[in-house]
Amino acid sequence: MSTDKLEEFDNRIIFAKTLIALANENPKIVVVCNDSVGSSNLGEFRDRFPDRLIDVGIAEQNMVGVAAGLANAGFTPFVCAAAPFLTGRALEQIKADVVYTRTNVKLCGMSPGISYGELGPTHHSIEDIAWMRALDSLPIVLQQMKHKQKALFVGPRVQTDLSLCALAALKFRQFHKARVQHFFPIKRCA
Amino acid sequence: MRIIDGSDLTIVATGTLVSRAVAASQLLKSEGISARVINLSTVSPLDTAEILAAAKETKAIITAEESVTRGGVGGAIAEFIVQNHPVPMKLMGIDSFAPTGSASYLLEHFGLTADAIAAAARELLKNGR
Repeated sequence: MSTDKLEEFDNRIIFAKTLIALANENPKIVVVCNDSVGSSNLGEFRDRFPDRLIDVGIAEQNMVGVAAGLANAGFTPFVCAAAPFLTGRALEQIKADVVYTRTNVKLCGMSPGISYGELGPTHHSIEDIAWMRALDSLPIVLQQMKHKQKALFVGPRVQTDLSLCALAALKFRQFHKARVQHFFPIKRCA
Repeated sequence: MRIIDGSDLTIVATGTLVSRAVAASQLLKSEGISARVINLSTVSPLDTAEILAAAKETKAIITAEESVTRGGVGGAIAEFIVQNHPVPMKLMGIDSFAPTGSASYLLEHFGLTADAIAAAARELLKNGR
């Protein structure tokens, strides 16, 4: 396979840029994280919007609960955490506080799959899609190619009212020259 | 999103497996096998029109993902296919707790490579499983 069509990139860089752009437009957007400013690439967001990033510490269940409370108060929280702990540790809060109650929380799972290879099975996130799929009507967005990643967040058709966004921390080889196409609509805009 | 068209079988891939599916399609093309490649953007809701077209227009479907296939992307597509337009399928993913090692090592370990996808495609077209 020719290598001229491939490049490596880190999805979290596009995620952070897009989140900052959205936050510039929408003052209601806040971030809730679990000591994950570094692993979710939130440093620039924190520096630009210091009063709009809530770091609850290593407390995933509280993180999702706090985000649900903020959503009920009119904010649009993006929960940014490592996918294995977001989906595994806070599953009940995701089910009850977010999905069952149709609360507008964006769940952004970083480093899904085996991105955390060397850290072993405790950090691998291979069950996250199966767990989240079991929840009724939760839109699940998968990690994407570079161009589509941005489109998933900024396109008018894709700002879901509920969404798990699985993002890759892993820098990986990806097909570069893929066409960017429209895809089918997912629910209403935020 | 269909990124390569094809008529013999379809490979549905996500994330890190998309580039490997594309490489597999290119390998198969050199052997005269036409493999469609779909990059799946969302698992819920599922792009059922694209999946149904794959089942109707090609002979078999391979799914490739960096997660467990039980309830994962493979499971989601199999649930839909079996109830709407059954065709032979092969679900490629991770089937157990993974050992400790680099991500690229683990992808090799679980056979999530272009060569392995191409091999699965040949087998699926030959034996129907």
